[in-house]
This record gives sequence, C-alpha cells and structure tokens, in this order.
Amino acid sequence: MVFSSLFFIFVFLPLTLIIYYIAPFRYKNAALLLCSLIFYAWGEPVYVILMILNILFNYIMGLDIELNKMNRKRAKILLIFAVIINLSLLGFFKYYGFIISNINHIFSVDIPYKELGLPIGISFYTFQVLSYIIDVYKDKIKAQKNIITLGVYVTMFPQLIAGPIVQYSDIEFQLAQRRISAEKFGSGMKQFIIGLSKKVLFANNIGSVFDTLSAMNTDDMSVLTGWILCAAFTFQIYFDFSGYSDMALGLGRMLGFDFMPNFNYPYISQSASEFWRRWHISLGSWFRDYVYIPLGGNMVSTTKHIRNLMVVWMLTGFWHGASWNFVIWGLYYGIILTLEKYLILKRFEDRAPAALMHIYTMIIVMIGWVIFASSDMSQCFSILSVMFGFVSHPFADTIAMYYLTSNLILIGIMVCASTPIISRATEFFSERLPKTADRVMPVIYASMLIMCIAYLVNETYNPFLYFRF
Amino acid sequence: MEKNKDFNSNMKNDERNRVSERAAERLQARSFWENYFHSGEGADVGKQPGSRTDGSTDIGIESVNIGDNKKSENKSGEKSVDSSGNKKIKDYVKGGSHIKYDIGHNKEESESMKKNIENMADKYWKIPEGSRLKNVDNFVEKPGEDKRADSELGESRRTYISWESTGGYEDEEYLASVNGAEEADNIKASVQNIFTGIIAAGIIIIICVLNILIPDKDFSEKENRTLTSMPHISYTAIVEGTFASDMESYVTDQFPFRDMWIRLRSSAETTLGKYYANGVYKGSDGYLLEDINEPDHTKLAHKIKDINTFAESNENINVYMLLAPNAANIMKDNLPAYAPVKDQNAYMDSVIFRLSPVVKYIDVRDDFTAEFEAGNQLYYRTDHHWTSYGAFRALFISSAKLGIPVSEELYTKYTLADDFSGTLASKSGFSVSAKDSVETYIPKDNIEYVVEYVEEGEKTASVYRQENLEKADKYAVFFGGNYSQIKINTTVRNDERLIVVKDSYANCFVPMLIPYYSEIIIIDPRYYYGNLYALAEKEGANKVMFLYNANTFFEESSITDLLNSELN
Repeated sequence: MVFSSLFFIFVFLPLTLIIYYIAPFRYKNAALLLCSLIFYAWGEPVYVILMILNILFNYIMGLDIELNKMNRKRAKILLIFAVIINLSLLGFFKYYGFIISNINHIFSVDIPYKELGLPIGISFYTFQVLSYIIDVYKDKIKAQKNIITLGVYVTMFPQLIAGPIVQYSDIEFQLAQRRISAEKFGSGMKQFIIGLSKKVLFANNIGSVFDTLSAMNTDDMSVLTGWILCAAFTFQIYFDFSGYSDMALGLGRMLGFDFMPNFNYPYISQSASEFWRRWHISLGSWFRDYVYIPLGGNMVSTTKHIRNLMVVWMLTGFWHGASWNFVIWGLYYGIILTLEKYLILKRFEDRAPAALMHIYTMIIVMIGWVIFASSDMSQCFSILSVMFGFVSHPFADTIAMYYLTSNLILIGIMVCASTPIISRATEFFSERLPKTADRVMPVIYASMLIMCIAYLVNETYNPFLYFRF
Repeated sequence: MEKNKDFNSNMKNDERNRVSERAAERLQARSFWENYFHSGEGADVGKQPGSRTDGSTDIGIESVNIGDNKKSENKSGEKSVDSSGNKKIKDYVKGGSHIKYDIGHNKEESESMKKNIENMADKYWKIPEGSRLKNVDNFVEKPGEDKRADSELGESRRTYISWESTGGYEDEEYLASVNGAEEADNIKASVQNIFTGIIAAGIIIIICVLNILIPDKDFSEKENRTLTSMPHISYTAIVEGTFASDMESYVTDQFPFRDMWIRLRSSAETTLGKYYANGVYKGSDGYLLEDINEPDHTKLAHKIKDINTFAESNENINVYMLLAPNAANIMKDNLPAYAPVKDQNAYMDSVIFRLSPVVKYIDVRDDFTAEFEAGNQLYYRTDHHWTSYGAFRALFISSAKLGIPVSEELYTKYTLADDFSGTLASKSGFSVSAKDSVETYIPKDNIEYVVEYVEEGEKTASVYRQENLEKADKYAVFFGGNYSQIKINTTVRNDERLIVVKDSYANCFVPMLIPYYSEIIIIDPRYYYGNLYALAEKEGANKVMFLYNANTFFEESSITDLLNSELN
C-alpha cells in the first residue's frame, strides 16, 4: 500500500485513526501494531511472516544481550550473532540474485538461481532493528520488555515502507508516552498534505517526462533533451522521496510521534558534504553511528580516514540496490567527499561565491543521479556524453523544445519548492497577518489536498522510486 | 553559547555518555554540551507558554518552580531558574544542546512532581520546535556525589527532566523551515493547525461517506468500460496479492464524481502549460486530437501478408482497403507547439508499399488535406471519429475504384444532434466549449432494407438507433455501436454483395453504400470469431472492403485470426 493512493487516504487511514484514537492509552500501541501489520501484509501477504519472525528474534536477542550485560564477552557474541542473522536476511532477500549472477560472471559458471521477490521495506526495518540491538549492547537503551512496543517500533506504518530510519533511542520515550491532540493532528495533516503534493503533483508529473525521455535512444538525443532528462530525474527523486518522508512524518505526528526530519532542502547545498547532511539524513546518521564511528571516523590516521569514508560510501551506495551502478554511485560520492574534505573545502568554502559553490554542487549531484538512474554503465556514459557535449549532437531539437515548454511552469514551481522560499513566505505571512493566515492557510492546504485527489483519480502512473528497498 | 565549568564538573560521566555523546554525534551539531541546572528554590511548572522574544525560537517555559525545596542549595551560585535562566535554556535549545534540569530532591515530592511534570508537559510546556521532552526520571544519588547537595540530605532523590534538540542543525532557520509552514511559535501555529486538521478531516470524511452512500456503478458510459466491483475475499486472492490490488482498483473506479476530478486535473494541466493528457492533445480551435500510434512493424507486415494472401487466393472477389488518416495526422497545424507526434504518413506509406497490387487501396490523404485547408470539418472536435462529411469525402474518393457513382446530389444531409461531446473529452478530461453536430447523408433513393444483428438475432428496419442520441455517445446512433456481424439486405436488385471488415469508422460510412449493394455484411473482427474465407464463400460475396482508421488498424490484432487460412 502506498500513501499516495485513494485506498490509503480514504479507507485505511480513516479506519486506522478512528481505531487508534478510540483505543485507550494502554492499548494504543497494540492497535497501532495491528494496523501496521495489516498495512504491511496488504502489500506482502507472505513476507509479513518474515517480518514478524524478525521482530521475535530481535526481541529475544535484545533481552538476552541485556541479561548478559555483565558478561561483555558473551554479550558481544550474542550481538555478533544477531547482527549476522539480520544482515544475512537482508543480504539473502535483496542481494542473492546479484551475488550469484556475479559469481557466474567471474568464475564462468552457471549456477541457476531464481530471483526472489524483495520484501518491501526490508532495508529500512533491518536497519532499524540493528540500531536497536546495537544500542542495547552499547547500553544506550534498555531492552524493550514489551514485545508489542518493540513491534510498534519496527512496523509502525508511517516509516515502515520507506523510512525515515528511526533509531530506537530517538523514540524510546515516545513509544511509552506520547501526546495526541487536535493540534498535532492538524500539524501532521499539514505535513502529510505537503508530502502528498510533492509526490503526486511534482514527482509523478516530472517522472512521466523522465520515463518518456529515458526510453529514447541516446544516439540522436540533443544536448538540451539530455539535460531535461537529467533534471527530470533530479526533481523526481527528490520530491518523490522527500514527499514520502514528509508524509511519514505527518502520519507519525497524527499518531503522536515526532520523528526527525529526513530532508533539509538538499538542493541548496554548497558542497557535496553539505548535500549529504541534507539528503536522506536518517540514512547518513545511521551509517555514521554504526559504521563510520565504530571504524574510527575521522579520529584516525589519514589513510584510515579515507578508508573509512570509502567503506561507508560504498555501503551506502550498495544499500540502495543490488546493482553495480549503485555501488559506483556510492564510490563516486566517497571520492568526491574525500576530495572535498582534504582539498576543496579548505580552499573554497568561504572564499568562493555562494552561487558558484551551489552550481558546482548541483552539477556533482546531477551527474550522480545519472549514475544512480542508469540500469547499466554504458547507458550512463551515453547520457553523460550527450549532456556534456562529448558527442556532436545538436543543442536543441523539437523534442527538447516540446518538453521544455510544456514543463516550464512546473519546473519553475519545483525550483522554488526545492528552496526554503515558500516556507519562509508562509511563515512571514503567518507572523504578519496571523488572523488572516489562520483562515487562509487551511484553505490553501485543503486546495492542495483536493488537487492531489484529482490527480490520483486520474493516476495510473504512481510508482514510488524507493519502493524496491 | 556559554560553557559553564561548574555545571560540567557536576555531571556524572555515564549520564553524559548516555545522552550527550550520542546526541552530539548524531546531531553533528556545533559544540555540544549538557547543562545541568540546580533548582535552588525549587520550580513550579509554568502557566503560560513563553512569549517570543527577539526572534529566537521560543521555549514554552516561563518559569519552572516545583514545590518549595529549602534544603537544596545552589552552591554554584547560579540563580535559580527565572527568566534569565530561561534565556539560557533558550540559547541552549536553539543551539541544539541537551539540558537536564533538576527539579527537586525530596523523595515524595519528586515522585509526585514527576507525575506532575508529565501532565504539565503536555499542558503547559510547549516544547520548542525542534526539541522535545526527552525524559523524566528519578535518580538516586549517593551522598557526596553531588557536591552541591546538602550533606544532610543523605541519600537524595532527584527528578530530572531533560529535553533535547531533535535535529536543530544549523540554526533556527532550519528549525522553522523543516516543517514547511509550521510555525516556530507554537501558539499561533496551533490554531492554524487545528483549522487545517478540521478542514482536511472534513474533506476526507465527506468523501468517505459519499463513497459508501453512492451505489457502485457497473459500467462507465464515459469511459466505455466495465468498472471494477467489490472483490471477493479468498485465501488465494489474499496470498497472491490480487485481493489487495483489486480492492485498490475498486476504490479508484468507484470513486464519487470521477469525471469531475478528471476535469479538474486537466484544467490544472493546461494551466501548467501542458496540453496533453491520457493520450490526447488539446489542440487549437477547440480540437482534441488523439495521439498517433506507432505500429509493431513485424505484426503489421504479417497483417498485410494475410490480406494479400486472401486477395490473391480469391480471384473472383474484389478486395479494397481504405485506411482513414487520423486527425492528428491531417490537422497537424492544430497540434500544440513542438508536439512530438509520430509520422503516421510514413506508416501508411509502408502499408501501401507492402500491399499486393491485387488489393485496391484507396488513399484519401491528399483530398483530406485539401478539405482541411479549405476549412471543412473532417473530424469531430471532441471525439476520435471522422465526421459524416469526412466519411462522405472518403466515399467520394472511393467511388471510382469501387465502381459506384457518388455525388452530393444523391444524398440529403440531415443533422441528427448538435451537442455532441465525445470520447476524447472524457478520455482526456479537457474541457472544450465547442460542441459538434452529428450529421448523416441519407440517400435520396429511398431504398428499403432490413438490418439483421446476426449473433443477437435481432432485426430492425433502420441503420440508425435514435435512442442513442439521448445518451452521451451520440456516435452510437449509427448501428448502435460495434457488433460481431451485421447483415443489411436491401431491395437493390444487383449481384453486388459486399463484406466490410471494419472498426467504428465504418459505422457512418456504410449507410451511404446502401443504394449500391444488394447485401452488405459488416464484420468487426474484435467480436467476430469466424473466418473470412468461409464467410465470403457462404455469402457469395464478390467484394470485400477493409475499412479502418489508421490508429486502430495499427494496434488491433484480431484481423490475423479472421484471415487465418488454415482454418479454411
């Protein structure tokens, strides 16, 4: 089930919220767990069993590790066991095909394999559960004795399918105690509507442009078309993913949870390093806390530091998908970030004009997206060659003009929406004319909701890019 | 931000580890540190959330006083919490720090205060945007561990509340911008949020109620298809996921006022400058133009081969073919700027190229282009069919090859309806103000005829189904739509028996042929399961005509079965 569907908005959500709000406080977690399991089973009627077993396993391991708090050695063995099991599950379901096909390739054998269906959200909930287990071991948190509460943490439907990756320590308190109110409902609804609009009005729209253009042969693609193609994906993936995160945060708030934001206007970044502090924040934090820092972070020798960076980035890329282009994308950023840390930023960070740094960053990011979106590297190179004029293609042609002119207004709106301009304007409005804003803003949100419904009724094209994680 | 050495030295290491380092690392904040307040005079929970000052992100705590705790002393010399203490809290929170706040050391008091705080936290403390109440817990401190504690206390209990920034990365700008229009000031935001919640919930509830109340529709006239009905629950359906997807189609298909939503979306699209929706271009002069389909060239080659084989093996049958070009082809000038429409002429030329010379092909394109340039309406504005005038022009062009005399004087033009809004309007959702007239050319020679719907076993005396003029799809006045086999027996005494293999374009074309044939058999291969060889022999047909519009001809696949000579 996706959030941006009529079924979710008009069937699942009202029913779930009614059940949840009616349930007495003691049973709210149980109600939420039940609804979330239904939510997951809706899309994965079979793999829901896998997730339930996963929760049981980690519940037991968590308690076990805590019991052995004094016996560090035994606790460590338990931890390693738990981590290996969790990662193996993830590795098996997600990377099995990839591994076998590569073995076949390298060793020229032909091991037959059947591609397994990827359980939805496995990358997200595996990481969440790992954060729980590791933090129990590190004694940052107490193991959760109530399996329902732990179940809620793992399966809570707002963040189950596509993040943000919530670390247990962040919501430990909220799992036990949280406040729901009309104001929180409204504030959550605001954010949900914002996310829904980003997804339905922006991402899906520019996504169909991307789909059409990427099906084109690059042999006679004009330069401008290449850039439109790249820009389309750049916008699509941002609004798709950040829209989904906004919806997750909004839904969480309706349930009384306050999650950490996952995106912070990444496209205004002045460097790739800053970009990764603003993009998919929960993933970056997870890798930092559980891989980068345990490896030593930047508190080690330069060689080891670079090694740490490259390992983390390779894994980050690999997490996104079982395909080499993701690994290359990860390494791409690893290299760039290393260069930035050691060479570029020192020289340019405060001296170069902001506009220049911004353009530099966007070019890096957009090239990155071409790598990310290409199914194979040869396609990636052909698109990049078109974009940067390595092949003598015309600058513009009718196709480029058509897609540019028919999407110009949309692109203009999306550029504004990628910056804090709009939210600052609404803030300003709410401050200066509070009474008016109190009446006007809800109407504006309502109109956005209505427009999203109109697009959804018409929608046959409604994929979610990060769905395969 | 100030660092206060006194405070830091009083912190216990493991507490700091537990909270501060994790938070510090996670937040990637600037210098992170904990602050530890000692309440001194105790604290009571603030009454009103704090007011905004100097643009800093505000904090809900006006003052915090809990009980009267004379035993505790504030050895550090810090003032007890008051507005200046609050200001510090503000700064700390703004900067993304973590604060622990000690509010009492008396055991009973602490227990009850803890409860109070938990309640008060909800009511009075509007936790600053970007931070949250993290913990309220009791600690037991051993005497002497807290240097500022009164040694008379012995074992003391402290109640701490702590809150931390949930991600205030850079500065308040971030805090404010993170939630879009959400206010940093929680009071003002709350009213706006409540209104938003009410109005959004209202919309959802109203639609849910409508969804339940409005009965399910079986068939959509506008979209011309059956709509999904409530799926059955079964073990297999659930496990395979079909129940889930059927449920979702069901909700979408039965959504109330579907057409209104589609129109809303299309007007939004035109506002954005997009003139294309669901395969239809919104052209100039009120024309909606269906996109051009590219054929699967292999399948197309097979189709032509089958037609050639049929024509060549039936030497006594004259085989004709007429492909009507579509509006987006002839009326290119009306398309939106730069529209990337495929070149249908190239595909039609390839058909002509492959066609056997035995098949008499009728090419109407030049005439149509001339008619279009002369300003005559060949296609409906909101429907994908050609007008009866277009059909008449095609007949006129065919007359030589067909061997029948056709001229305008032989027909009377009647207007059947003048408010026709057709398939493209509903398919695209574009609103077009112009409505079309549906006309027909009735032969002046008043020939009597009988129309037989073979499979349905019905006979009527007219090719026109007048009742359809009351419905949305007025084009269905011609024969009532498409049927597997329709036989028209006329009172014309000649030996001309014609089979027309067709799509719906022929529906307004065939009525004009009545004066020339003693029998006309209309076959729609999408519904007819027989074989053309058998049929031609059985009916003694001496003429066969393939009449299609190019788009449909290129995408349809049932002709192959019809022309399967192996069944013969």
